[in-house]
Amino acid sequence: MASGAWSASYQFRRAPRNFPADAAAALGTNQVLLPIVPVKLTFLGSAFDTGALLDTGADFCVLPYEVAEVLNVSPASLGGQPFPMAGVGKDVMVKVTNIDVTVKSRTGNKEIPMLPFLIPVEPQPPGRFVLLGRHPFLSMFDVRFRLGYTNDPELGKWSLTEVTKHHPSYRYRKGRALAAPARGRR
Amino acid sequence: MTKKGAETPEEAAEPVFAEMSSENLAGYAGEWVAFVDGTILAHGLSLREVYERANKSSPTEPPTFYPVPSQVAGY
Repeated sequence: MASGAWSASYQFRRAPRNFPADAAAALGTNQVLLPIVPVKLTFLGSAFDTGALLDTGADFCVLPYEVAEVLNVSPASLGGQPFPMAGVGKDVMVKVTNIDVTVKSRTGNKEIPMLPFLIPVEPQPPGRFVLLGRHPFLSMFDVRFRLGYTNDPELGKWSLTEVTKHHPSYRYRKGRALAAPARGRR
Repeated sequence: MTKKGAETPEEAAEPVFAEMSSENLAGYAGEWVAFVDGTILAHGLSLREVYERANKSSPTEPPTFYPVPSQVAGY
């Protein structure tokens, strides 16, 4: 880890579910662990504090319709044409807008201005997490999952560390472009 | 090298959302729950209603809102 980079660590959160006994037996656990990031979302003076789900399976960050309503983001008034996003069971039409995000941590908060979020243009079923997906959130942070790190094997911890670029990417592109052609050995 | 006794990021796990334990949220599956300092201010199915009730109850300190999962999901 590069010194000076922002870093925070969190405990997994257990979902309050009672697993069916046969599911628990099949999966080997009756716990569901959610990596939840404490965040503050801000849009034009409206603020909303919540726990966002770190979703390594999502391409982009997603703001549920009802959270957008509370933040006074009106998908209908956003510019651009809606486009389909693959949702659970069916496609959902979404638009894009930028939201200011503050990731909260005991050791100091991390401000991420203008993080792009997909917002459904039509109401969804309630009770959905804000999702932090791969682009651009996971290109900004290294994530380490440490299940089993503690004495409680079912709890564990996970951490976010800000990515620090050590080399400008153009050097690699230039290097590849100018590499001498391989002289094949015969 | 970590100095002996100093916390590594992994050891310094966040206590910020300690209230979000399965014990606290056992009765709220499928709902939004608003917290301030570990105390539940409001809960319900409609985020808009929970948001307004919680902000009325705690005008100075902003509440934190969680959706409580109601079923096993493949996120």
